[in-house]
Amino acid sequence: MKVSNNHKNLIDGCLRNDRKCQQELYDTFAPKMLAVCMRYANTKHEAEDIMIEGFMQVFTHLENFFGESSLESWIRKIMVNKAISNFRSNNKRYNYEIIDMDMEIADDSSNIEAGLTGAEIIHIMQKMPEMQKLVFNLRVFEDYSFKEIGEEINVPENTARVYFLRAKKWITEKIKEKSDK
Amino acid sequence: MKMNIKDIMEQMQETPSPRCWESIASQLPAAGAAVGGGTAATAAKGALSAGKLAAIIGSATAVVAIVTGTTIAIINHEPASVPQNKPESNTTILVSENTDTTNIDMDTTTFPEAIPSSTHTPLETPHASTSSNIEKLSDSETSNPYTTPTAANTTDYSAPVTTPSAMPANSNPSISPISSSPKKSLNTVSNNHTISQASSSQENKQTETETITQSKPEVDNILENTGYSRPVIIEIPNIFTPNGDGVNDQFVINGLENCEKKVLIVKNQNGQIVFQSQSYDNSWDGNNLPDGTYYYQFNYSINNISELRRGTILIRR
Repeated sequence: MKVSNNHKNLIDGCLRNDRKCQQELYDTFAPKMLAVCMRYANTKHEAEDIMIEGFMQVFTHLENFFGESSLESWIRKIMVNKAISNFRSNNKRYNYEIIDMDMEIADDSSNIEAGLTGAEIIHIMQKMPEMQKLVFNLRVFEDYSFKEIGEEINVPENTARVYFLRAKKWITEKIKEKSDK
Repeated sequence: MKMNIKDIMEQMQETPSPRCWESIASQLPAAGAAVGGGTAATAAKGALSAGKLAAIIGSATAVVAIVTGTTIAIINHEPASVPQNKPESNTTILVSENTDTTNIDMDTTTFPEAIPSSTHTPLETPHASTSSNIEKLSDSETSNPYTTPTAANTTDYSAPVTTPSAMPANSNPSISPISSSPKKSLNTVSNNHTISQASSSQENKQTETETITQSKPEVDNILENTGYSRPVIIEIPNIFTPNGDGVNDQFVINGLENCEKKVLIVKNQNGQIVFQSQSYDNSWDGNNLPDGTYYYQFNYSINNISELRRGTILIRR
């Protein structure tokens, strides 16, 4: 059990439907989780909607949390899943293209450096095409494998890889532009 | 100084706006409702379903109460496959008895559905015969040429529940109690149909026979004694003028404060979403969109009964 005592009390309180504990849990994690959601959404408003849905699921499914990971990463996983389902519902008729891998150079390390603040990076990411943004997010920040990403958004593994490479190329350019200014 | 963007983003925090917690708090089960702490999933689910059951029983008794006061036509349960795309309705009235609710949709376009033959469903064969009695009975009462016999009957007896005076003065004048079609009134209740039918059918039969033998004034007395509270009205405008003059600058839905869930989506004529909110707070000012017609979908719930309303909204500055 990695759950710290502090969180254990909080969780018990939330399971008792104690509004104070629920709010404390929300206050503890909301700012971080909103930053996570902001990466997936186009606007802050949309990010907040994802976060609200996520927290509703946290509170209604808290009894399924047994402490196998930290509470924060569990909540974060829920937020990411909500963001993915949000993406799915917004892109129902998205036709992916099958891309020939040989055309691209396969440097798929997710290590990108930047001298910018988080808010500036979010601002850049909000302009990224939806599909690339999701793949980029899952790969860089959630450490998904390309196979997992492909399964999430229903594209072949290699297509996911190409989306990531394009996204990476795109964001590196934007970061460079921004840094040069 | 250069850093890996993953590390930058991990450190980032963003303050959520107050509406987030307000929305979550309003959707959570009421504070103090006992949810089993230690015994995890089953306990929580048990509490949830217990709550649902209470709601179902609630609606069942509400239906029975109305049956007592109005007409047999109302207990003609609809099959669960009520079409989702119902025509635009302008005003919804929720009659609530304490926590119990019955949703009565007021909609002039549904008026033809009030013809008795269409309200008879094979599910409730005993009702078919009894309601034909009612039709005969009401034939003599029909004075309005626009009302079908059943509708006239409904109107007369349900008057104390949904009197026009209970609506705000600015509500759509085209709405009259005549249009409260029995078919529509069960849209929300029909979801609970399978369970509520079992628990209420016996009582229904009893009340049916009573209703048939009762004369009109007696029925009125019964309704007065059931203690209905004031109906909740959700009113969505079809125009607003975000020009900064202080009048109708926001898209304001009347009665919003009575909703637990209030999901609003606005699309333009190309079907692109121009505004959406999981918990709308009457604050949308048109976002500098060009004047014109937009389409809204408003999904709301009152006392755990949820409804979807669609319609057009005109922005004119």
